[in-house]
Amino acid sequence: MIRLVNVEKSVDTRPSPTWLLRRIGLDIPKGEFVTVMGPSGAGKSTLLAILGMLDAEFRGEYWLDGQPVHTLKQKERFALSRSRIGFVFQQYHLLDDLTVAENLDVPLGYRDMKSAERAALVADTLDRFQIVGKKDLYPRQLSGGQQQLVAVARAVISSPALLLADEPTGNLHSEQGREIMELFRRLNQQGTTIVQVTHSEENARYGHRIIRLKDGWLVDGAAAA
Amino acid sequence: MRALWQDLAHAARAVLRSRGFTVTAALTLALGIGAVTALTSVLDALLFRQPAGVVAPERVVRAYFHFTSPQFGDYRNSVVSYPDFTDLQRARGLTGVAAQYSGGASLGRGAEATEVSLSGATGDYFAMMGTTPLLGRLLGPDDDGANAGVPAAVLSERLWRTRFGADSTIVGRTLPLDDQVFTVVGVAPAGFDGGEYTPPDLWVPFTAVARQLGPGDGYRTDRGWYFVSIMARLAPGVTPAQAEAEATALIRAGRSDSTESQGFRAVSLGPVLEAAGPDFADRASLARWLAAMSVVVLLIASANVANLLLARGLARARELAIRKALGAGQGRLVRQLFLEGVMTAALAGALGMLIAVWGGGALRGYVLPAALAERFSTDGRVFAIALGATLLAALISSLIPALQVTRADLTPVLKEGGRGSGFRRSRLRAGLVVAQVALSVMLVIGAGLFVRSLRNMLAIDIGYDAARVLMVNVDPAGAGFDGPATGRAFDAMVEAARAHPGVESAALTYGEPFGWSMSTGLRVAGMDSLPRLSSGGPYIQRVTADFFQTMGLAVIRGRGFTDQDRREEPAVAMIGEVMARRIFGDRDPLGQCLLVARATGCAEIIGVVENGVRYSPREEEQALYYLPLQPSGAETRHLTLFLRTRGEAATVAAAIRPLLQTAVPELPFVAVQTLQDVVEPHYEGFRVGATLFGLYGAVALLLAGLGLYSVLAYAVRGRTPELGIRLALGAEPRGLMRLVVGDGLKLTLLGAALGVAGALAAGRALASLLYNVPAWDPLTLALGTGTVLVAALLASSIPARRAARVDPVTALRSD
Repeated sequence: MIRLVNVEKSVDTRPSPTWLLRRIGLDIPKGEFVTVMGPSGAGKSTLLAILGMLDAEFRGEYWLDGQPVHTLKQKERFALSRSRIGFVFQQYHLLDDLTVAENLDVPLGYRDMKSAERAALVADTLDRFQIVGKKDLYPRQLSGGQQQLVAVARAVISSPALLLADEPTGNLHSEQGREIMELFRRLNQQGTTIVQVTHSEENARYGHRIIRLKDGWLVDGAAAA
Repeated sequence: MRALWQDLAHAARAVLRSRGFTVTAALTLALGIGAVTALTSVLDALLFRQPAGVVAPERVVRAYFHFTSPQFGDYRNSVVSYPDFTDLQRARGLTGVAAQYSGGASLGRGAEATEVSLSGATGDYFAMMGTTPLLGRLLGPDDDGANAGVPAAVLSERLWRTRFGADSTIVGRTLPLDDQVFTVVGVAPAGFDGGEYTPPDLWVPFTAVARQLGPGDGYRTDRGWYFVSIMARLAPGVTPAQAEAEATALIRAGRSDSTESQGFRAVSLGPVLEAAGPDFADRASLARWLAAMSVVVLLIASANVANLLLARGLARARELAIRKALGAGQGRLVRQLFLEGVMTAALAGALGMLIAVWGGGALRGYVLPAALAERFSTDGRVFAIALGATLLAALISSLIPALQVTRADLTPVLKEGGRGSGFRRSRLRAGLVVAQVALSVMLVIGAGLFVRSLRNMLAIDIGYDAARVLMVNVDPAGAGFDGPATGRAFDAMVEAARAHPGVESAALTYGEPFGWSMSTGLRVAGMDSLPRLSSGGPYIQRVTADFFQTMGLAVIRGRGFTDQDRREEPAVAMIGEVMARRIFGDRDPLGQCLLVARATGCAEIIGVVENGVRYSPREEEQALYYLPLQPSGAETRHLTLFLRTRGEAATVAAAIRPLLQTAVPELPFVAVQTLQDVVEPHYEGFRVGATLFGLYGAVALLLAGLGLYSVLAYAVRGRTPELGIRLALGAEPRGLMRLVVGDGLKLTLLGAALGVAGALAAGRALASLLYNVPAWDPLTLALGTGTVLVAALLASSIPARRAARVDPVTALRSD
């Protein structure tokens, strides 16, 4: 599903550029659950941003479902991202002024769906994640775990083939973290490809493979098991 | 007290630390303060500043006479007959009743001659005013008697200073005015104008100028001869209403045995300031509107700065939270922020004062008559206005944000270690932008209405080719020329003018477009009576053969006059096209016989000519007809000379005056002006309205645009994480642009709706100042709103583009 060939990323600093990623080569087949690990500053989040097409400033080749992301125009890239990818963040990043239901509706609003269709999908998702009772609450009225649950629900509401998660349990206590990871496992079993960035060995064990980064280099786990 | 000093010091440091912000805010406020100071000062000078040199001016009144006639409906006169004046002198409710006759005179003869405006004042005038002279003495009852000897003259301080170099030995000097010699007996105090809108250069006895009106003293008994204005002082304890009732009764009794009694209704008494009286209601109303609009500009500027301060206050939430944690109460925080605002406003006040003093000069020259504008001084009243405007600006711009910011719960800011975005959607900020947009829409619509009125006025065909016509006024008879000499003087001027290469033709008239014309008994042979026009008339002018060609009026049918038509008993006449249509309808007017006044012989209509304006471009249709000017006659004295120039009249005007001034020896002052200058005052109100409303509208638009920009830019900065999330969830940059522009448009549309509603409400009051455009004119409303919407789109586009450039990786970074 994902193929990275010699992907490199640097930022301009003086006197020489600072490398964030060096010659990354990586294959992730459809349905795999991959964990990216490494110390702070290793390039994990940078890699996730490139995979999520939030960052298009890189060298090398990035193929997603056979499509050459590295040659796509911005508009095509956005379209591809919208149709394939969902995001879960450590800080949940729910929109404070919107209710739970409205937060779930945001990504659907960017996908040219009719409002009735969107309402049905939001209702389904609320039901599926058992948060119907919270649909009219605002993020600040929810616990951290509940907020992340909503964030995951929002990430998968448009049925993305690829779910990218950046420290999804970083702000949760262990019980809440386990619930979220169980949810990820279920999503993966239902066919969603997942790439998560984490520092937690326990969370890493939910995945099929661990990729380790250090100083921007991929030091372990490049090939699929 | 120590705490106040401490806060002052903190505030001063904060203001100095953010110099860029302070300068921006001060300049914004200065625009508003300058506008308010300049315009309110004009309004003050026009309507409220009590006239200098008048004791208890609130007790001095001007008389206005009200009439009703079937022809003209209700109307008001500020000049009445001399017998009316003597009737009013008997009023017990008035302690001093004085009459004035305003006119012009030539000071000196020949090339040295200049024109002065004078007031012929009855002996009670200065005593009634309670005026004390600057030099010598003022006029008294002895000066105005029939046996007064050499007439006396009192100079205005302005004439004394500008023409005579403030010569302290001026008293006793003689002054040649027209054909009389006056003795200067004194100088009026500086600034004394008796409350006149266009103050005279000097005062002379009433009887001395009344002889200008004609031989003898027929004016003393003729109730149909309206030329005096009357001023009086209310007797102690008498109210204006009581005095009005008494005056009305006296005039009614005085007119009871006269045919002139018909139509007289009442006397009303107005304020000593002529500009505050009914004759200047439109001008005063326009000045009030402009001053009110300047306050609107100040409100917009203050709202703008309030918005900036709110944004800055929120950005300073951490500093305020720390101060609060260290023990500062809300009152102290409010005071500190308010003091910062006051310091900025004080700087703005100083800048505004400079704008008002420097820019205000041009403004006053535009709005006030020259004499009034010249006399304007930057005194305590102007400072007081500037101070008031500054305080208002300080209150709105800083107190409201100070209260809002410090009332907010600042604790979370500390908990977040200052990393919190501090961003909140502020209803107050949005409300301020909505208010700014609404006020801008009102101003822009107001400007639009005036521009449309001006365009409608300018589109009126006045008939004359004003840009190529010069109008020449001179009064040889006033300077002692007898009838034949006056006639010869005008003929010589015509010859001299024709010889000038820049002059194409010249014509003499008795009756003057935009000035005066007569209506006299007119019959048409074969018609029992003539249809009456609501505009009165038909009005007659006597003209020489070249008149129509000189003025640019085309002869539509028949022929024009020739020099041979100029006879004592005219046998021919020409009529205007309106008269042809209204009097003769489908019948052919050519060959019809007009019987003018007491003439027994026919004046045969030989031609129909285009209609020219009689007195105002806004007048109703006027029935006009023309007779050839008599070769000699009583009218010789009041002739006007019109010249058609080969190019623009203005370019020839300067050369014509010395030419004509010396064409005849000992000629009094020859006044030469372009017909365009004569017409211009009719457009003035609309031009002033369009210019100043336009200027205010542009400033308001700029400020509102800046306000919207600052709110949206602040929002984009505060919402960067949210925008990043939206991008991560699939939003396109264009979608984010739409989001920001949409936010701006929501505020703008709400403001525009309120503005249109406000403009409609205010428009009803504005209607009397407009011409041929309703206050609810859909095109103006649409264009005004559209202009503001475009400005709002422009203002939104910068933050919108910034939103589209948000880097999601940076926006979402957690550490």
